[in-house]
Amino acid sequence: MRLLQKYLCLPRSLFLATAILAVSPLVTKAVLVSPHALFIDHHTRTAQFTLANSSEQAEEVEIALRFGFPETDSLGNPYVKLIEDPGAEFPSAADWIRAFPRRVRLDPGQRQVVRFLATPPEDLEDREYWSRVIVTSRRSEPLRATADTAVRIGLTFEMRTILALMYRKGRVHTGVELHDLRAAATDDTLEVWLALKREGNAAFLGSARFTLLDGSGNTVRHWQTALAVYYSLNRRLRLPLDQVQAGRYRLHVELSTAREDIPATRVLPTPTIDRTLEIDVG
Amino acid sequence: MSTAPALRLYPRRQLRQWFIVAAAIVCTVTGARQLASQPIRPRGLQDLQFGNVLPGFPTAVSRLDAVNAGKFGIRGVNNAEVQVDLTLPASLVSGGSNLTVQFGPADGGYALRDRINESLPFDPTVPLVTNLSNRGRLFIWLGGTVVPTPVQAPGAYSGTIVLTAAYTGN
Repeated sequence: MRLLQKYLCLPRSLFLATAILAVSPLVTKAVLVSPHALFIDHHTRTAQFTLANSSEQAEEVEIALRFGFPETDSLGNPYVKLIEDPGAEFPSAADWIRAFPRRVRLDPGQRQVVRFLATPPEDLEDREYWSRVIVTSRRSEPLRATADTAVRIGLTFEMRTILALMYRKGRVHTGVELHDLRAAATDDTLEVWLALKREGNAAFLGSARFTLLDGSGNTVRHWQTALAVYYSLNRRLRLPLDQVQAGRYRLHVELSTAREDIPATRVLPTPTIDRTLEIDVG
Repeated sequence: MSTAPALRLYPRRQLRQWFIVAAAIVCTVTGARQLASQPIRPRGLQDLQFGNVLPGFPTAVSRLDAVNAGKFGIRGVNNAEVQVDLTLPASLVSGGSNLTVQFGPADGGYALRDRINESLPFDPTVPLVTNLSNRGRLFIWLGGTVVPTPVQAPGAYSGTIVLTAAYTGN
């Protein structure tokens, strides 16, 4: 009986283990760049990321550095502003950080470590310097094109991933000022405007958490979004209000540098900003 | 005397079960961390195909054409906001000849699931800012129109569409 129990129990635990493993993330077929943000310290002056080709075709991958940062347009939409030749007023690290190798051919299943080496100027001030890393991948085999009497057309794709790179020298600190906060419910959307200005000498890489509370203080909805403030940002966020009943609510807004996608050792702590607004829905 | 009953509570087979379950939990927690810091992964799933066209006759491919529309997939952190930018060619080239290609304000479509009929239109010449699905996915389709002239030289015309993807929060 004990023997039977022994062999019956094992498959049950294996089943449980399999069920838990099934929710682990899957890797798709693409050129993968990991991690998605790089931090370089002035003491070590190096960093690295890994490229992996999980597709079934060879890929040519090219790595370039360009100065840029997220900004917002007049409608509050974010975009990455790339500046070709940043002047001295911009803390660009793009000119003095090099990637090795800068071009690589990845066969299916192949991985490649790309190293970044910084050679900053001697008189570099204490602060954070920025760059964007642009990873371009394209199929290694060119489009097969046989000329004949017909007009034949073939369009191919190139994939670009933009990553943030931060170089930190000396004491770096950050913060954010919330100049303006507005919110209004329209149809099934809660539109929130945030006017933010960065403080300190490093980018504010944080998050905004929004909690919608009813008259009894119960949480009705909760949203969270990552925020990056390099200079100033005038963000508009559209939060879905589907199935929220008409009535008066309070919107609690919390801004902090808490982020799950950035290593804890790289997070620059700041005091949390809390604000609450009254919202009429419906 | 006091330790013997405790040992009896955890015979070898139970310890083995707990070990397997603990190992699975460790794998899941590690996976969850990877998910939180998942890089953004754009990929081309299907080229935009016009096939053979006749000189003097414009040919359009709808973004809702599941067979010929260009298709991209993006994966990343669940619900993360991303910016997707398409750099589109104004003309295609074959040797020394050019062929005009046009992209209209409704030639782009995007959806959180791989369902072309559920896709919402967007202007592919303007950056798209949207959120990935709660499974970290986004699908994009692209249509367009080629305009060969009546005296268009025969040949294989090619061009490249560049898709740039970035998280907005970094």
